[in-house]
Amino acid sequence: MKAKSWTDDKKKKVFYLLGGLLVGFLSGFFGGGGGMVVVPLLCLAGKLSQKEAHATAIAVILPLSIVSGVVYILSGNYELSIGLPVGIAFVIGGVVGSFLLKKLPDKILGVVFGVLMIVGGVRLLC
Amino acid sequence: MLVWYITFGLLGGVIAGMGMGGGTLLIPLLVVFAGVEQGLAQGINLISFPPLSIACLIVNAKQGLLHTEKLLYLVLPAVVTAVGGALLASVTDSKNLSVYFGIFLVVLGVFFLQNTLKKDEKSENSTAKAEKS
Repeated sequence: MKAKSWTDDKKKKVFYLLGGLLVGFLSGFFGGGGGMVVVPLLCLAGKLSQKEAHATAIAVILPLSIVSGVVYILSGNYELSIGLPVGIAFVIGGVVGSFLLKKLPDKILGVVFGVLMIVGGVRLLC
Repeated sequence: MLVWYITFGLLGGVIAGMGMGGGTLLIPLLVVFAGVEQGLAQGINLISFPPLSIACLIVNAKQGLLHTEKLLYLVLPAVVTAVGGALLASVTDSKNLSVYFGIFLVVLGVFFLQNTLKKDEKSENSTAKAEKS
């Protein structure tokens, strides 16, 4: 029993290390979207529930946003004239979203968002 | 333009507040409809995220949803590659970066759709089980 939990523990560490390397690169290079990779990683390797994984993913993405954000600012990829209105609206939208979450059906939301991502991605490619 | 910045910020925030990754919507909106350069849109998304996420973290922690055991094994290597990724993005041509981001978004979208449909099956199964018992 002891040996089994030791290997499980080691497995989790290895998955976290490898997953961390990938998530960090994606967050830094794409400036977003890392959370979408962290959630399944926490569910599968960390054995967390969807809800716990969503909550914990924020703790992973926050430090990544800060360090990558600093690099983006230093390399001239931030403008206050756009960043300030977007950023303030983003926080207000976030509060609204957290309330809406309880009122809208999961499945429709998921499908709409998935389709939006694909459409957005294709638009960027063309 | 200001109206669009505010509108897109709100939309991205709503999605982020629902826990679905606001940047995946905010970045393409800024690039496709507001003509913002890809790298700049990414930087704006990164800087918009912390104020909201700190508030979310406090709420989540109070609800006991945070599970930070061994999380440093994930966060520490991620911080290192995040800096590397951000530096690489800063020397990548904005048009190319758009294309790479577009591919990333399509892949994420497909996985997300697949997951949503699978999750629904699972929850239907679990309600069926719950009804049985």
